[in-house]
Amino acid sequence: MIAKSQDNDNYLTHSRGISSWIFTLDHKRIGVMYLISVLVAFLLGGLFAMLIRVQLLAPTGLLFHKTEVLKDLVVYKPYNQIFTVHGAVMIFLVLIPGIPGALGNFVLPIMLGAKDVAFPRLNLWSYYFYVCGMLFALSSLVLGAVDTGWTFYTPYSVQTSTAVISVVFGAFLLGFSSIFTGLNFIVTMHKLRPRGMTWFRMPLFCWGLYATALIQILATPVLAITLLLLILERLFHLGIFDPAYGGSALLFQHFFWFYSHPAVYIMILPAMGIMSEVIATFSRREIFGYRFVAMSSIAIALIGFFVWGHHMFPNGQSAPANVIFSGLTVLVAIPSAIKVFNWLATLYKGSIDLKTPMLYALGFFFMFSIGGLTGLPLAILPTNFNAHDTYFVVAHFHYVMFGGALFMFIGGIHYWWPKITGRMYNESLGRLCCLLELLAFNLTFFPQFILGLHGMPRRSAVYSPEFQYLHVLSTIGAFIQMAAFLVIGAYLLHSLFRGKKAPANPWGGSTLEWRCSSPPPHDNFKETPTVGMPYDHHGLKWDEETEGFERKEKELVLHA
Amino acid sequence: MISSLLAQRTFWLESPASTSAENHDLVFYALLYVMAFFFFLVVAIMLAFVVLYRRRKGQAYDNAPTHNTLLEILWTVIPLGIVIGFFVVGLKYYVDIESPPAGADIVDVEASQWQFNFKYPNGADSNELYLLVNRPVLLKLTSKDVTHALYIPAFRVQRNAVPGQNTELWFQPTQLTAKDPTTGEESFYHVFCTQYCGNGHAEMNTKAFVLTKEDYDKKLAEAANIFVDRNSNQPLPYIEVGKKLYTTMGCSQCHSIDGAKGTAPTWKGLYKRDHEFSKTNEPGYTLKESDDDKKWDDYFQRSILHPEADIVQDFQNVMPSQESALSGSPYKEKKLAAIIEYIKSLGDPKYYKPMKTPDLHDSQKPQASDTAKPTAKKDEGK
Amino acid sequence: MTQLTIPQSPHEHPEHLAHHFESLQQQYDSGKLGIWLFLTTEILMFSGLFCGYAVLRSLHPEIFLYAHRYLSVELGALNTVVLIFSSFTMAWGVRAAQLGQTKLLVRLLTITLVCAFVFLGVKFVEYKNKWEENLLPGKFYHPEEPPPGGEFLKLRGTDSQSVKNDKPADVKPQVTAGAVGERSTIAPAAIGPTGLSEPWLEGKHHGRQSWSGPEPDNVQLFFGIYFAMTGLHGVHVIGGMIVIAWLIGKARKGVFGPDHFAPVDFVGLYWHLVDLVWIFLFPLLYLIS
Repeated sequence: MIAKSQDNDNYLTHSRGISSWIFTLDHKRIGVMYLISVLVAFLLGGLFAMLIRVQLLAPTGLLFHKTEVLKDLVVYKPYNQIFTVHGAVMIFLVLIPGIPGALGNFVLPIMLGAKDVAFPRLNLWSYYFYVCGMLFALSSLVLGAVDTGWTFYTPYSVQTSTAVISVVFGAFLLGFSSIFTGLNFIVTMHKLRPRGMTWFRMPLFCWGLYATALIQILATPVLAITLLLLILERLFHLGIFDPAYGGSALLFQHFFWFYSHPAVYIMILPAMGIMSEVIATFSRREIFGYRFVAMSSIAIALIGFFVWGHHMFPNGQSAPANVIFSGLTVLVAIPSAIKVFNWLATLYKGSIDLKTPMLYALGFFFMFSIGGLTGLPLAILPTNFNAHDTYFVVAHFHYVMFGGALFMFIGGIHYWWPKITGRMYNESLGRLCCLLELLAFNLTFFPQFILGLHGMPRRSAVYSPEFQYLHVLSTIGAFIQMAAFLVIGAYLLHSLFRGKKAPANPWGGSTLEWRCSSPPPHDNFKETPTVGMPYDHHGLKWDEETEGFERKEKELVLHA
Repeated sequence: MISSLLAQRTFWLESPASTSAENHDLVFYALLYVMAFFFFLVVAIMLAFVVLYRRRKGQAYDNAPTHNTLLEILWTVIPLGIVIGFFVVGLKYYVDIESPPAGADIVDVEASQWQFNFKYPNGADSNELYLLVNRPVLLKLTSKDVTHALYIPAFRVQRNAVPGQNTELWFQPTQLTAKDPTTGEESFYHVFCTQYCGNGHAEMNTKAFVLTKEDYDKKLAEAANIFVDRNSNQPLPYIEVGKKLYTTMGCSQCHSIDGAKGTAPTWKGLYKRDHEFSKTNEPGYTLKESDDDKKWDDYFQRSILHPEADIVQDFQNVMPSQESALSGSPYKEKKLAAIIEYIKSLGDPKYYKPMKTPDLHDSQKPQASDTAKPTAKKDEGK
Repeated sequence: MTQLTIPQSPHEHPEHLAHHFESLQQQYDSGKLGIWLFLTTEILMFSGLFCGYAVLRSLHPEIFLYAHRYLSVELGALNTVVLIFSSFTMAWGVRAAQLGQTKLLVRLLTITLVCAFVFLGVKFVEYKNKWEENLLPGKFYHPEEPPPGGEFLKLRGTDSQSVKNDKPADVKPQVTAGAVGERSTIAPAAIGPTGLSEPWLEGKHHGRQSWSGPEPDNVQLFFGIYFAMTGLHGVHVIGGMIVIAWLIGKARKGVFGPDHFAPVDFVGLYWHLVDLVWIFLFPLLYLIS
């Protein structure tokens, strides 16, 4: 049943030469290209984060500060540019495309037993839109790095002399990349499922990607028009967003957040999908309450469209609007809570193996709980006014986006690393770095909750001296994180050359991607595999010879 | 520095210093306990399960439950109830936040890059916020350029200042800001700008002082007395005050000082320039280079207080009167004099004779007269 | 065991079937779902613009009432008719493709393309007129004359939004009984939706000062919206034309028939959406009042 790689032909060796990669239509190769690009972007964004943390070591600014000679406020401009680039890169180049582009592309078709996504050429276009978007956005670094914050609020974004149009146009292109990926995934899941795999037999990672794709299709076009109008505003003073020409600054915020709030669910839903996969595999159990977990992804996607105003509570929005958005925002917490409880219940009477991906998943419980729960004070109006635009918000979103989404991205990379590369990484280092990362992350960001509650505003190059000790703690944490990430990068790279060859199923996963060789052959499967219940671990036994899991018993076969 | 304040800080929050802060803290601590409870619950269960059900050789649970609808309902409905409960409580306090009481003092706040300008009922304006203890105050905010926000952590209040729009914020401070008896250093509450607004955003901070009536009146009188340099306590030349008023009173929005054409006549070279009017107060009114200083002074004063009277050719009747802005101020005439002085200083140098700096004694005396009769003259003060 | 027979030889499959699909039906179904999803994204993008239109119009109805008269209803109506007709020929073309009527298909696609050219031509005439009369967005707006057609009622003063010193609509007036209603002593912003704006007034045409009829403030907003909406629509028309031209090229080679008409079908759907957007644009911009 399992395709053995005796012929040693896999998607990596199937064809050679740079043009076979540049013009590839293979979803696996596209996934790998995405992975490399996203990780490079992450490195860049991380570098800027380190600059931010170094600056904030001193209340008057360690890197950018007033001097005897330079007393003008323009000394802080580089800092403003740095946090803008950090935010824009992390959001548009890493978190939004990350899991769908890198892991989704690779794993989804194989998980469905299909040969590829529905529209392979569109998939390649999606990647190239990503690259072009990245180039445009990064070109601003030389043309005049933007200093508006990644949110581009008007009228400042209309007035600043920095290269706003480059970045905004870059984001516009990245939006197309996102839309095309979402479109592809929806059609793939609707039309390319194998016989026998009904919707409720689809793995939960697919559900996560599906819900994400819905948001990508529905929300991203609104970002497109917003950015287009912003460009026109800057070029021709269209007047729609600039009060000086008769427009409304608040209107821009509504347009912007209508996309950007659902965008955060684009970031977290795939990560939650990975959570399900990892927990199922490393507990050797099916996910408790499968249907509830699946439907909660859809619920989050849908409710998430109606809460954007919670980014604007003190901004001049009307009181009735504030009330409505607050009420809807507390509702959106519930489906996430449902997921967390179901995952916990999955651990009950499981057979838990603490491999590296599982450690990331357990870390997610910790991080996402803090991140999600701290959303509550932000959703409730009186407490929002004390926390809005302070470091409390910064801590909240880093916990969910970094501690939640990005962590599971790394966890997912570790989970599927043997499948993608055909190599095993050093397990001890993997676990060690995960734990180190967990500790360092909390050291970096937990103090920021306190900073925010005490009143430290965000996007500030300098601050009142009583906040210093918390910033120092935070920066120490950041440096430890940086070290951990460097080690992760090192052992992963090392595994490419010296890692043990991976068996088809090193973890005992039950989903279809573990049935093909590691790395998979060009066509994924020689024959369309049979489909059973999702997360059926019966019959998977450890084989000493291959050092992987093999399905020895006859499995449950379901008729359509 | 602000040692007295630091001493009152708790782990999570500064001591509440307003009625809304006390409300906020109730909700916040309730939330904190609930958040902590759920967090520790999740982590504890996770750790327990990981230990209890760790993989052991040759063991497999086949009786593990796959779903339990009752549990699903319970852990949906209970959290739902909790969050809705918080929403309702929050709503109650939110209604308070959006309901300024009748009779609150009004302070106008104008945010600009990169400072806050507070305008008090007595006409004084300052970059610092002075507040009366135990009295509600209503801040009316707007911005001159980009979006800013006013945030006072001690009061737990925040509101954006939006260009082209007016927003409001009220609160009632309950704690005085103390003055250190030995050093004379005054404690204060931070006032921050939290809406990123450009280069100077990080330094767009100021101080809020909560004072007794006596101290408050003193502060306001000091602020109103813009004719004195607060750092050196020396009288400022009228031209300096005029330059400041040019900005704070908003003249800069329409009148340029460098000759650029705008909504209104540029002040550069205005003084002693032949004027052509499309409409005048008295028929046949003219204003020429040759006219005497009194006529020019009269004209300036009338233009500021009653701009609809004479309209310069090629301009429209759009200037708002500054009568209300200046009324109630004990320094009305001096302000007029300062503005006019500044306008004159931008004219042809051969006509401009700098006014002498009034001495300290003179400036500190509030002017009793509040009539519209222009009396601002070159030789006022010594 | 469910197993699909996959043909041994990679070339033994229908000509237009891509390798990763199992059947032509699956390929067609996928394409259909794909194009509908793409159209959904287009609808959402234009919806953003329509929302912006709605917000601006509800805040400043006087601007729309005043400025729409600068547009030519006749030309707009002509364009509407032309586009609807082109949708008809396009739909007929899809039918022709399904029936394998190649010659008819080519003719119909060509007519559709010609209609699109006419549409763009009319648009060009309109835009040229706007350019010549300086009816442009933002700071480039300085018309020489008021719009044609009828008296202008004193718009200033009838709608509270356009009266200076009044609060814009989106300020929340949440004040309970007995609350303070005193006026702020800050002079109203000289910038903003209800006030005059210095920067763009600089660019105003000299002669305007002598008009007696009141022009509302910030009329350039209308033209901003007008050009954004019709411009974006025009870009989509051009995109459609490129794809239709490509279809004509393929159709002339006799590629389309009962077993392969999906591209025509899908482009047809796209073209209908382009038409539909215009059908909304026309009354919203041209037929106000």
